[in-house]
Amino acid sequence: MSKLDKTNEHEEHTPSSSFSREIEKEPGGADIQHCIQCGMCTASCMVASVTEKYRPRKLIQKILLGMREEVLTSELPWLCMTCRQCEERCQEDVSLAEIFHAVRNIAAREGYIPVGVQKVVDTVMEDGWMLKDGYSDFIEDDRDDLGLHTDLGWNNEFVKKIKKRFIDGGNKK
Amino acid sequence: MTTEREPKSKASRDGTGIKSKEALVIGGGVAGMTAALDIANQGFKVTLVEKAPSIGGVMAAIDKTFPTLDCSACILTPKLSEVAHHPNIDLLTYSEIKSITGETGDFRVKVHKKARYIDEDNCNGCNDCVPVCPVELPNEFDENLGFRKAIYAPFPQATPHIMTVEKKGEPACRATCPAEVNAQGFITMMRHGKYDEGLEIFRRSNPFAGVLGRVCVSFCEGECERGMLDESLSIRNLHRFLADYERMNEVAPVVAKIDKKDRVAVIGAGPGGISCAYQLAHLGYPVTIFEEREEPGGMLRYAIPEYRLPREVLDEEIQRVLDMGVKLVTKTKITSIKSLQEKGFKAVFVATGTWQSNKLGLKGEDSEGVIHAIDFLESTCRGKEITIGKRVAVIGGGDAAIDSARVAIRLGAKDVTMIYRRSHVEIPAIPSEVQDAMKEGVKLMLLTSPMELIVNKGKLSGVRCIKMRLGEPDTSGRRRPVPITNSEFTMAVDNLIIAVGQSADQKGVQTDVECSKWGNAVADPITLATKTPGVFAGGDIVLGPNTVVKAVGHGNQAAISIDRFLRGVDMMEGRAKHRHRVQSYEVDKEGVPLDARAAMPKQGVDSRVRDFDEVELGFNEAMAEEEAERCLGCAVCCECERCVTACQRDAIDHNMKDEVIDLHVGALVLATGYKLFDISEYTQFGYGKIPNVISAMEFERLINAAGPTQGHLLRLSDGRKPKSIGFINCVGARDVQKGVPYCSRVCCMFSIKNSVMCKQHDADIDVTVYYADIRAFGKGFEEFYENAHTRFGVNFVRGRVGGVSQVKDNGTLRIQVENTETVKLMEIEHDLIVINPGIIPPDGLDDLAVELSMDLSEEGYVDVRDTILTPVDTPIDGVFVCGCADGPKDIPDSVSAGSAAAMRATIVLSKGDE
Amino acid sequence: MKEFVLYTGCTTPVRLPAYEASVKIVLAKFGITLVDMKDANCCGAQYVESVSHTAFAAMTGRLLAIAEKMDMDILAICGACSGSMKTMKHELDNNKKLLKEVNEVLAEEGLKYTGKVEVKHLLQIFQEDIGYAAIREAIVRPYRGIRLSAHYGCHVTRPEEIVQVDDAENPKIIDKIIEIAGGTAVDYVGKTRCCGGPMLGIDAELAGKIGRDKIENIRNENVEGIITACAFCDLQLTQVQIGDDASDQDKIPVMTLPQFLGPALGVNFSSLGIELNRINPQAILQG
Repeated sequence: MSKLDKTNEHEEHTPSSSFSREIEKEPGGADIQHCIQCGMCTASCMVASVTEKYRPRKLIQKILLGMREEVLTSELPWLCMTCRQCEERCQEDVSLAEIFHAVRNIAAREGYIPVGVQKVVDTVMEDGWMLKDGYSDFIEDDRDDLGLHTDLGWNNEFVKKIKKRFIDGGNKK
Repeated sequence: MTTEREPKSKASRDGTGIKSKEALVIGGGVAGMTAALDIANQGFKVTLVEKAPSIGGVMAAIDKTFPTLDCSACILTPKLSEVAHHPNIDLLTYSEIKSITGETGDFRVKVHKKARYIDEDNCNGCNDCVPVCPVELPNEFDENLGFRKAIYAPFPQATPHIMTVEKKGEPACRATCPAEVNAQGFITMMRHGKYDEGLEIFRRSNPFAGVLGRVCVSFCEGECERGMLDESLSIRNLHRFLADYERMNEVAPVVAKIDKKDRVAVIGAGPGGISCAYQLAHLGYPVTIFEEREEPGGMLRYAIPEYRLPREVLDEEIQRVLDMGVKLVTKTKITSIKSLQEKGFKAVFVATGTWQSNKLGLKGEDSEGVIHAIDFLESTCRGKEITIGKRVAVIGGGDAAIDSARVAIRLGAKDVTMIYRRSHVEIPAIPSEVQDAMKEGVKLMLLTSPMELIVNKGKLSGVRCIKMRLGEPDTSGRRRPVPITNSEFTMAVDNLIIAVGQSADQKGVQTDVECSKWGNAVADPITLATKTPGVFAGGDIVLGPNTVVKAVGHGNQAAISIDRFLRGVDMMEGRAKHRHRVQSYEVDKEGVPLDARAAMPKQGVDSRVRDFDEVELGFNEAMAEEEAERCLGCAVCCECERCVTACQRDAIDHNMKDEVIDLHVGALVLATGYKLFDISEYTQFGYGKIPNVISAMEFERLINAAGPTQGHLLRLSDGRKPKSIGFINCVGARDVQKGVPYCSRVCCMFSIKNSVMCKQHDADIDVTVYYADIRAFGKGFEEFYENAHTRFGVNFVRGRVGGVSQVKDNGTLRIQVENTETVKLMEIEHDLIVINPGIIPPDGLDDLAVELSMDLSEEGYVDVRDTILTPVDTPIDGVFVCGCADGPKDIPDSVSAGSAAAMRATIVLSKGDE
Repeated sequence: MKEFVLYTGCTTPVRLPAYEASVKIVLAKFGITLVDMKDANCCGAQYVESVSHTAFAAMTGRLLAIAEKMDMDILAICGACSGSMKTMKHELDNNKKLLKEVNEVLAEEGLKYTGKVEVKHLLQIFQEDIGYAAIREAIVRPYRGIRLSAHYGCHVTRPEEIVQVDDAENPKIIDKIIEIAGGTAVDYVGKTRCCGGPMLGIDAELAGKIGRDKIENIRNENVEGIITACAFCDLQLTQVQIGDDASDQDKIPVMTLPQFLGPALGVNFSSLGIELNRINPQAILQG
């Protein structure tokens, strides 16, 4: 049937299962080859319902066809909210959220991270948590009024260590 | 035939070594029927066993088949007929396999044939019994969309063409009642407003609808299954209503039909004696009741106070018994049973009761002011003048004690205390009586016992009591009261009424037969025969003080025994067996809304303590009907026997029993079919919650002309014709997460067929099928699919539906689906959603596999020996399989498999002589 | 006397301190004490998780190891944290290679994860550790039938086989507690859909659309309030109603479960931080 292809150019692509095999090795990626492209995931996806650009089934299809470059450089894998509604309903037990996490991990390793994500990651790996800058005096007072401790005591040494060891720094785009 | 041959198959158990040339087919669907016919047509005898009341399987419920759109019933019914009439086929329906032992060529099978209470030779399926049956329940054949009766045939072409009565056994109420009152029966009649018929059903067991309706302990209510849900039915008050209703409207005439010669004597006109006479008169025997006192009734008249049992009610019900031709001789005390026998009575029933009050054994018990309960109550009931002081104490906790206390209040006592040595939990009196007594001002002094009577100048002035505590249980199982040291106290009383039980008159006429050391007659617990031939005894005189209904029960049993005795028939036969009592889990309580038990209206406390007018006022018609509606109908068939009256061929017999049939066969064919996946497990589709989301089988029944809507395709929520229908495929099949990873093979074609049926019903309906794949692999399938699309205009969307939700304002249904061909994510509205469930193994297949020592496949189906070379052989020699028992199949494939299995079976049978 | 170590996550202490306070007070009423986890770090959900699985494993693994050292099970009150810790625990318990890698890093601090510690979400505490009967008995000021809808949150209930908190397609715990406390639990279309929270850092516009869809579905049922069990969801459902793209319709109060249950148990409003709720919850509290 007709293909919804936005480009007018003729693109040649040789299908290959090497990318899906790469994904299979990642945690959660094992069942990706079971996908029968039935569309249950897209039908259940909240993101798909609010934007036309995102179709989880199509993303899986691209992985299965081996379109590695396109998938890794795309913002689409980062749009998955990991709400897992698709995973609950998929009758072949394909774990889309985990597959997309694996795609993101690979993309990150190769230097493709959206700006918004990078910002949060940098903050967390520096401060140990997300909202150090957001912890204002007013909020400290609120906590005090509620009888809660005000020294939140987050550890920032460990994350620095982890960053060095597992996340190659860098903001390549 | 040598006996030294080694068995060839595995699991040879208890083979007898004798070969059989007969076959057994288990399952009467299209596959099983085909197998049975092919075996039979080769000249072999075959038994076909089917669980349901009729053969035909699922195919009987289907409207049209794919891909030819043949009417399913049209192609199936000739086969049904052929099976029914084939001389070589023995058809056992409503039957299940109990056990299988043996090996190929020599299987011993026990078949459990459930009683259908229909004489299969006389019944011709005319349906005269159906309109009169008062019990309605959901019709499983119509997927519970419609109703059927307790007596039914599942569909018009049911084979064998006879009815079936669904009766689960004896309901708890009836099983508990000592008089075997058919409570479910009369209550079912009350639901339909048929009070006269309800009363007639009650009167089959005893004549005391009104009397027992006021005084019975109601053992039935303690066991009523409704009590497991909210509160038990007010059974006693319901049959009281029946009696009261008759008194205020038309009284049913009494028919006297005494046509036998053997005379029977009954000694004692209490409830036991009168019931016995009633039953015997019913059978035509001339009965004479001898009563010592001036009027009949026994303790009903001379002990139970009038505010509990108005005398008119008692008189009328006794009179009805007398009107049947029973003679009553009052003021006559029989002192010798032999004298009666010499007078020509061929049988005697002793029911004289226990009237001697037990003594406390305390000094001063014969002083003035001390009176024993039975004497007190009898005097009151006779209307004698009794002086009662202001302060009265009653010793005891049974009904006699309560009655005495409440009578004392009415006679003017100001301060009445009931002293009982155990606690509230152990009080034997009827709980509602205890409540009423307390409301009337009777004080309950529990865990107290009298130890000394204080007498002043020959007159009682007080009683010294001691407090008790409950210790270890005694032989009756109740905790023994133990005095608490130094807890004595004295109570000033004017009168003491002692109600600590009764005993038999040690010099009574019962001593003519063998008695126990307490003076009670010894009688067989079932036949009630004493050791003296022709003399029977029952009621309190045998049991010691007991309940009215127990005496009535004894009266009934004695009548049966006497009748048999007089006819020279064995008295014991068939009487010790118990019918299956319907168990709690057998009664479906799901979805039954909770509803409180009707409360009996009572006279106001202030007015009622002034006189002996009846305290309980009785239900009105609205209350009675509402209460009757709460009955769960535990046994399903209520044995009202209206069907028996309507049947003109004498074909209904409610006493039939289940049978066990032994079969000796050489080969088995398993054709047990399938069941459908429970789609309510897919919460996102809302099946069972959202109206107008239905399953494919429900759809099938809706479009079937013999179905609940006569073939009109309607929305069940509002009766509207749907304008837009969506079919959701692949539900309960090809689903790893729900444990059914395999393809169900038939649902794609099934849904296409149904989508075409929609269009045939109304070409303007917009029909869409949502699918993951279309599997149209068989002969004519692809063309059918193509036609559905091009000729009939069914839309096909490739995309599995994510979920179904209800659109609030207009009651339509909204689905989310991605059309994977256009990559459009759509929300589409339909009037009706039909979900196609996948096929799964049927109930009971795993049990059968255990009997055969056969392993099933991982999905629960029969695993054939080799899917390519021997597709109908199971791993067990001599056992073959066809139809869906080994995996999903459509009708043509099931029929082929049936023929194949038949062939494989007859190869075994042909070798039978080797 | 049950004890849990409380892991608040990054968001609750700063953006929803009332939730933290009300959890502590309400659980204390049932004899459950909570010990704050000290020296913790972000669990790494969603963002770090997307960038490096191993980093995520180490960060969440550290939290599990800290709890193990404290010899207590973890109570998570944020859905994302609960989801992270439960799924990571499941992975570490079944993947020896990853466990070894993580423990190697943790060993440098003297920490180790052996699998002993359990992770529970707040809803599990109510259902399993407290039990509905105890909740029923503790109600002193029941609500009077007020209509409320429950929002469970994706990471709280999914993936069902691993987190085992409630039935993912048809969750019941919050609804049951609403009923026990005297309210009327009302279902709505899309009950199990996401609130849009995880999308905030990536595309705030889409996140808003998703959240508003949920609010509109709830509004169709004419309820007085929404009860949540995840800090993120609570903030998101509040924010989409008061942010720039919010509709003009009346705002539906959003409240966390312990804040809702507290008054029924006799806890006063101020200890539950009710004044801090950004949409006035009067309507709920008067019902």
